[in-house]
Amino acid sequence: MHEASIVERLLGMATAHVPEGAVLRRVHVRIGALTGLSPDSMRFYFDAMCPAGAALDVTVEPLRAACPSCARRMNVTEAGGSCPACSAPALHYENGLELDLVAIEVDDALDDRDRGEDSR
Amino acid sequence: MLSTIAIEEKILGKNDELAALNRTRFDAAGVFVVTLSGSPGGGKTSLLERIVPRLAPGWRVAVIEGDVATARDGERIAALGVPVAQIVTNGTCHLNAGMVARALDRAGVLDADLLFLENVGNLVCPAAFGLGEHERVVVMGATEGEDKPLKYPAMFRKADAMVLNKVDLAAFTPVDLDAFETYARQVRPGLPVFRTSCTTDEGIEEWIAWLTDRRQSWRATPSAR
Repeated sequence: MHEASIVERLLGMATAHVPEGAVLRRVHVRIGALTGLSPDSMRFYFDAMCPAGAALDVTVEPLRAACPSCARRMNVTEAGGSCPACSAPALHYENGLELDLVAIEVDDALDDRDRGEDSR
Repeated sequence: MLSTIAIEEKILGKNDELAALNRTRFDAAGVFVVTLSGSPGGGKTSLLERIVPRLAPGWRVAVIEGDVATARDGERIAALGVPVAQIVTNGTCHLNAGMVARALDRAGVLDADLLFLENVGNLVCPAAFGLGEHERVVVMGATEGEDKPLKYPAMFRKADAMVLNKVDLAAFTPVDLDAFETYARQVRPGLPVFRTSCTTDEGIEEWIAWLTDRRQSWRATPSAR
């Protein structure tokens, strides 16, 4: 649901980094498993809002967990599970709220064409 | 030619900045701020109607109401005779720190000892947008079912307390209130839970005691005026 406002913010940030004359082709974001964000839903809004037809890459960061009972540490893909070693009902998560614009990919082909014409 | 530009910026950085700014204003004005979030119809406004008249003799209380449409909740709070600012989001499913910042300029809101921010009824989106509050309370109707903390974990993971409201109705449904609490603590270990009813007043005093205690702790910290 709130993916719409997050993607809106994301697009604003991404386009601000696009050099003059270049076209935005790809946006790479990193999200944590505790954000409750759906990558599919983010892509849906991204496609609807991004006029240039760029693509959105979403990386879901693995969750680093520690068991408060047996102190075992592990990586898990989903929150909410019990400890696989001692069955303690809840794990402590060390991360999971990542929501970062990692990088963008831009096409500066227009600049290349300009340069080509200049040299002719 | 394609080229990659590394950025590494937080997407909600702007909201986080505004939330931090709100917190600074709350602390400078000596206002203790509690957010009420939860699903629509869980009883957030009804709980305020129960506790505000009990708090008001000793404390200046103010409320910011967030709703997708209508000022109905704001009108209910205004009838209690305390300052209220109504935010109508016109479709947006959560309050953000900027909306709250603008509402703080309305009369009386920052003169309070205790300010409640009632978020838009929603168990998903409000979890992602900090408002600068000191405490986050999630309000649930007991009849919504004990599995809700497991199904909407982000909201519970960020909560400082849960008010399990409408417990007087639990007897008419198969809901398991102990499991409700267990699941909530599975997501957020140690979560304080208050079982309340706005009809019988069960648990209302206990929740007020918690609010009072949390406010005392905050006042004892150096950031509070």
